[in-house]
Amino acid sequence: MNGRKFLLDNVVWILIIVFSLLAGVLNPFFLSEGNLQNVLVQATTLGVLVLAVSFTLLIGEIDLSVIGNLVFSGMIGAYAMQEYGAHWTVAVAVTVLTGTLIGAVNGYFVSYMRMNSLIATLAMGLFLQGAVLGATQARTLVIADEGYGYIGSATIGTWPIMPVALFVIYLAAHVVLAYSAWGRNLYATGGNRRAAHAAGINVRRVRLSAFAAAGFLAGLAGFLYASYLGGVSVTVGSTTLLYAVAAPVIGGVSLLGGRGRVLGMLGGTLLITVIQTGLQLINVSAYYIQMIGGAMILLAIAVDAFRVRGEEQESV
Amino acid sequence: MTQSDREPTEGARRAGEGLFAPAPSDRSVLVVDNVFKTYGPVSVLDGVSLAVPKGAIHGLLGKNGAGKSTLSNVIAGFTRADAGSILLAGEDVSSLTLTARKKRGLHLLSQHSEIFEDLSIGENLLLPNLPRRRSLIDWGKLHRQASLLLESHAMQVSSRRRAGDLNASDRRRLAIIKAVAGDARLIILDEPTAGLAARERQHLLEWVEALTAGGTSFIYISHHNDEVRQLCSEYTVLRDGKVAASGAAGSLSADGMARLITGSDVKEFRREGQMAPKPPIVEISDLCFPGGGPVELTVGRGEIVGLVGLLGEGPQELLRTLGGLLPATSGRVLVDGRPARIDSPGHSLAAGIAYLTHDRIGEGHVASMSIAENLSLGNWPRRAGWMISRSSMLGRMRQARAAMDVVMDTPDQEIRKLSGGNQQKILLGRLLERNPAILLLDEPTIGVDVAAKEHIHRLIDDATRRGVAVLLIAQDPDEMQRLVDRVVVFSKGRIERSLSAEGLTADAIADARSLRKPMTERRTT
Repeated sequence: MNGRKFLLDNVVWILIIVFSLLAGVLNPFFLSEGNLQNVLVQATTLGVLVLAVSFTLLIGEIDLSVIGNLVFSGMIGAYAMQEYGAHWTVAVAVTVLTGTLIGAVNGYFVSYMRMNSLIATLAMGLFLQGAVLGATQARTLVIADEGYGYIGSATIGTWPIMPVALFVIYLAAHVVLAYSAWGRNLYATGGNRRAAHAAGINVRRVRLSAFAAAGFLAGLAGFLYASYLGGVSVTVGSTTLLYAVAAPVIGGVSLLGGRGRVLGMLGGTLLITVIQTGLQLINVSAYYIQMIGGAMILLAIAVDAFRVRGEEQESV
Repeated sequence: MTQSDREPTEGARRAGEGLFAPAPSDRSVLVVDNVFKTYGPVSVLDGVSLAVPKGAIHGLLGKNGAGKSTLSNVIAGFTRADAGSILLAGEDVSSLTLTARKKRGLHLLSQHSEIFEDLSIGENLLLPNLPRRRSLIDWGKLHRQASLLLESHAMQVSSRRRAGDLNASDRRRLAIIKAVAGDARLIILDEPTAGLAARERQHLLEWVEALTAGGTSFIYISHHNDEVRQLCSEYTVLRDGKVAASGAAGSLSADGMARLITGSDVKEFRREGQMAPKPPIVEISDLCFPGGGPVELTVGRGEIVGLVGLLGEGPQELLRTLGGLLPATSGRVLVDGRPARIDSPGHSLAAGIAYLTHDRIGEGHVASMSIAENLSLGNWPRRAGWMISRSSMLGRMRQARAAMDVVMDTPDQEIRKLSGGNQQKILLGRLLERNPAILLLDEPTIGVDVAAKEHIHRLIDDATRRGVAVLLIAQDPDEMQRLVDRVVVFSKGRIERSLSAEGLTADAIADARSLRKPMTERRTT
């Protein structure tokens, strides 16, 4: 029984291994060091976005504005350097601060004005992406600053350092969510909002802060993405948002709030990245990649539903 | 009741093997035969038998935790018995599902009757079989059928009205009519008069009695012994999961019934009277809140004051307001002489006011979090300002576990795996950890087994010896009578009168709640 529970709890990692081996058989390059680096670099921006969405999922809400936030705060950072000649460190701070502020506004809408997070953040995301489209006239803002682009392009030996950022951020998120009072208040609020309130937790503030944290992370993702691309472009794939929502759920984060581990979020991110890059490498027609990706996510969610159902039966 | 007596048949003799079964005949609509049920180590039903004749009302009595709810759940099919059988009109239904039993006419109507508030009364009555015309709902026919049903059961209300707009007693009538319309053979009524005023109760009782003429039988669960004597032909008293007594209801005196329910041999916790006046610790003046006020109340150090009143008449609202869950509209609360802020639970707790909810699952614990975390929820022991000190959290857990005798595996277990009694101890422990000046206890032993209940009573009593004041709400008048030093009676949101614990009986508390002529007035000195 316990072995079965262990397998189901870690199904994401099993799927990652199975899919990697499958892709490796069809195209040996998939298992090469070069591709592993590629997967991890690809996973970095997505992974931070996944964390952002997860912080709001933990309180039983959702933030769909993370992509809009990413491009908007990235653009503000780029302008800070281009228009005002800001030092790159200032630009990074401005980028992250912008993201945090947007998140706090989302949080105010949801927590204090009791707006529905799904719709409010969807609208916020459209607004922000539209604002970037208008301000840049759909042109890419090129960032030439070496300092700003360091994380996105530097290597140690042959290894890019971008994934280091991913693991540092995930480690910090783990410490905060598992060991800090604020982190546990997020879980309590998501698990049972009324009980958290009655226990003396300032639930409104916690809910606002979850969105602010999501905004902070979206801003951070904005910086990482711009640093990697060497610029800010409004054309971030529209499927990225859906992946950023699907990954936490694949990793066991409950859409109802109160449940989810950081390791699972990482697993969800890696699984989606592995599927994406794998499908590109095994010569699946580009027109079918999206379809197969969708099917793979469905499969992962189905396994997760099976896992949750098993747990519920146990508790009866 | 209009059935002619016949000789007992083969089937009835087979069913009558249980120890206490009062010789069921084939008139028996329901026969419960030697039913056992355990939850973990606790034996909740220990060989229970009873029989209900057609058209009869059978009273089921017992204290909280005696096994009444479990027995009703076993009969209705919400849970399976470990052993024993349930015969409905001679057919063994023990292994049938809830829905299958409903189809055969076996219904359990709990206090919170299943009503769809946003649907019309007509829809509520006829669901799930709404009349249709070519697969679309035939609204005209629906309301004609529903009106007929309502009329024939003496309920004067339009079937088109929203069911949620009905008052408490009409909601219960609606649920009962729905069951009767579905050819109910036996309906279990779980405290149908709870929270109703005296006149309403009487009307509902007479109305139920009239239904038996149609051949429907009832099992009637109530804390009000007088209701059982008035309404029921036979009764069964459960105590600690066993049938303590059964027989014809008419032959019993009120005192005799009370003795049977309590059982002289049960060692119940009874608080020693604290008559001497105590220095005040909480002073409430002119407090107004949604649904009540102004309230004036001073509670002494170490004093337990019982709040008595119907649902919505003030007690619950007062506790929730003091606890920071409802907004006070005016007034002042002093704790230890200092004004207390009560605009949120956090502020109330900081001021020394700790509220224990009656809704453990909805508002008490966070089911997905661990036992230790639930104990420290909202009051984390911190390290470096922002980290939770796990060692302090586990230290608290050890202390609470020892002091409150919590039965559990590890502190990291999810709290939902604990029994109701142990969950409740954790919630109480969370409040005590805050060293409150006053505990506000709304049904502190709801859904808790007998042993845990006595233990919780003792914990409350212990707290008062350390100077903690208590405001207590308990539906069970007997429970309240054993714990309080004083009772205040609410009516329409205000305190109407105060009763001292001296010579206070459970019946007097029950009377005071339903606003009947208070028998206690004779005692006033």
